Amino acid sequence: MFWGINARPGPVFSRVLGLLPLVLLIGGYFTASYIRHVDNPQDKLMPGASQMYESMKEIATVPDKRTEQVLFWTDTKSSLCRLGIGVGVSAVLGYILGMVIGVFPSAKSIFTPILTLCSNINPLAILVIILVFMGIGEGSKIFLIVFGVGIPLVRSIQQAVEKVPNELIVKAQTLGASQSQIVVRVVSPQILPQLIELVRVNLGQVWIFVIAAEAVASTEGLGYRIYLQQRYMNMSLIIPYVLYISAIAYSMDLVLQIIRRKCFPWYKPEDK
Amino acid sequence: MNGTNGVKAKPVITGEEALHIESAYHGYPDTETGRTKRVLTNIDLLSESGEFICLVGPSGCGKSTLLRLITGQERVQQAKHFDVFSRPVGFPDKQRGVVFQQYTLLPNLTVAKNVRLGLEFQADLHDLWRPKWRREANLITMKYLERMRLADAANKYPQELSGGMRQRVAIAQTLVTIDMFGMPKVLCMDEPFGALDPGTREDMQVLISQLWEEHKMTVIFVTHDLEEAVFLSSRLLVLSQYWTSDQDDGSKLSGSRIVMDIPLDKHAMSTEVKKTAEFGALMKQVLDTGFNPNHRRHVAEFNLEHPKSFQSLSLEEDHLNGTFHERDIVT
Ligand SMILES: Nc1ncnc2c1ncn2[C@@H]1O[C@H](COP(=O)(O)OP(=O)(O)O)[C@@H](O)[C@H]1O
Ligand SMILES: [Mg+2]
Repeated sequence: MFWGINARPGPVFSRVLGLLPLVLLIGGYFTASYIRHVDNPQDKLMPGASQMYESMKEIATVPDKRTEQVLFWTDTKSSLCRLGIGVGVSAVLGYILGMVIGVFPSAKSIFTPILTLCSNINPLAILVIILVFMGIGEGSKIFLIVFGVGIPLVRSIQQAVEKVPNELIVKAQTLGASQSQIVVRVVSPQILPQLIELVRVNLGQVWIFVIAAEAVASTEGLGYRIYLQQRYMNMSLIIPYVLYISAIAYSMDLVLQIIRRKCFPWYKPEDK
Repeated sequence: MNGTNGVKAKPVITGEEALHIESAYHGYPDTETGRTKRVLTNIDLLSESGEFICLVGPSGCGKSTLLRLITGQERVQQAKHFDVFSRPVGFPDKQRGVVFQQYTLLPNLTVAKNVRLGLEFQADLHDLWRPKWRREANLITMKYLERMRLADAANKYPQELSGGMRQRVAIAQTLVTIDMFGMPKVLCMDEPFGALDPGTREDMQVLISQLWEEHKMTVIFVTHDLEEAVFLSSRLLVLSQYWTSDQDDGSKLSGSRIVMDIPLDKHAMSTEVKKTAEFGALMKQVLDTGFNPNHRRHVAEFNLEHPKSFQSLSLEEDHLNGTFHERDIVT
């Protein structure tokens, strides 16, 4: 009845089944944490909820002695800035360059080899090179994101453009469209929702690059804080930070999804 | 007639010349042998504006290829003449409207905006913002939407429409610029109703006939459906690979030729005509001429009844006459 190929769990039962692993995980953690604290009230490895709350309360309300700023907010701000600028530059680059390459065969000839080369270089592997050449400022972090995400975006957009049926381009030409009208009025509006979808898909990658860059060369940011606290084994801060980052990533994904639905009601991703 | 192979002199036409194709050859690289596989052989076609030309033939005979050459999507490989409205054929432009089987509507625009597109593309930039122009464009758009029975769907997206409605939008899209800009001058359609169910298909056939009458336009209509072709056309062209000549016994399969070119009375606006005996006899004749691989017609026996049809010497025949140049060969 409940098991096997023929099982058809109802909506409520499905939810219950889905919650089960989560409850086990969270419950298991706090049980273990409790047991460790019975042995050693000073335990830092598996902090309980109250320890996490205290740590977070301190970092989110008490200004830092040296900088006189609330670290939690400066961390959030600088990480989001890097992420935002990196994603923005990547998206604009991907949209424009991808479109040009997709529409104009000669541009494709020019850019394909170099894009193939760049996309086969692991961005994290050249992080050190980037830092040496561009310094440890914001520029190098944004460059890392653009290198790691912008280039794949260019190629994905190019592929999306190439999927626009040739019949449609011919039709537009026979309706009197000039080359620029074809790019601006026929191709680009169709690609826009796909750009949003692609950004969504690549957001996870962007986060990896942000955290990695901050861990290696930074003085603030969510990733920097996590790596800093690692030295003190301060799990009561690290765990909430990780959850916080996940929450931000999840809500960004939701927001992009909503924008896509609201602004492009005609776009049906499953049609592809 | 010249010897055993067919040659028919080129006629003089009095009206506006729409197509002038003489000795056109086209082919594609064969992936297996690496040589060029001929698809079209010695195509001769002269047409006056105002004709409803249907191009039929067995599947794979090169109908779409010929249409792509006419619309400018591909360049013809070799031809003495390949003129559209007395000018050598160029890239696709507003002179030649197209309707394909599908994929020609912008998914991000509503039906009305899809139909307006041509007006906006062809308008002067400063006109686009003038209220007077915009009103006029709206009126024309509405006129065509109503003509194509699409008024209720004006604000829907193409994805929400049935196949028949989408094709009506595609046709409206193509015709909308006629009033304001006098374009397109010829309507090229490649199996436009191929994806529709039979009932919708007949509706569309009647509709396109009426539009042709109204606008007195030139139509080149490709279909593999013989019945559709006989019903629609004022001139029926049969393209077929099943032919022979003195140089080619048909075993070499060297591309399709126009094996039949006949005028048809076109005043029937009802699909009832399809049930008459005359209609059936004609269908049988066409099937026999172009669709039967076991009965290849000799070049001299092609049915080129149409007063504007003609037949030039093929490259191979030219070769025998000694005027053939090796570099011209399309093998
Ligand atoms: N782009 C192409 N490359 C190679 N071969 C092609 C190409 N287009 C058409 N052909 C070949 O040309 C022949 C005629 O094709 P087509 O014009 O589509 O036929 P039809 O429309 O009459 O069914 C077919 O054998 C097809 O394989
Ligand atoms: Mg075809």
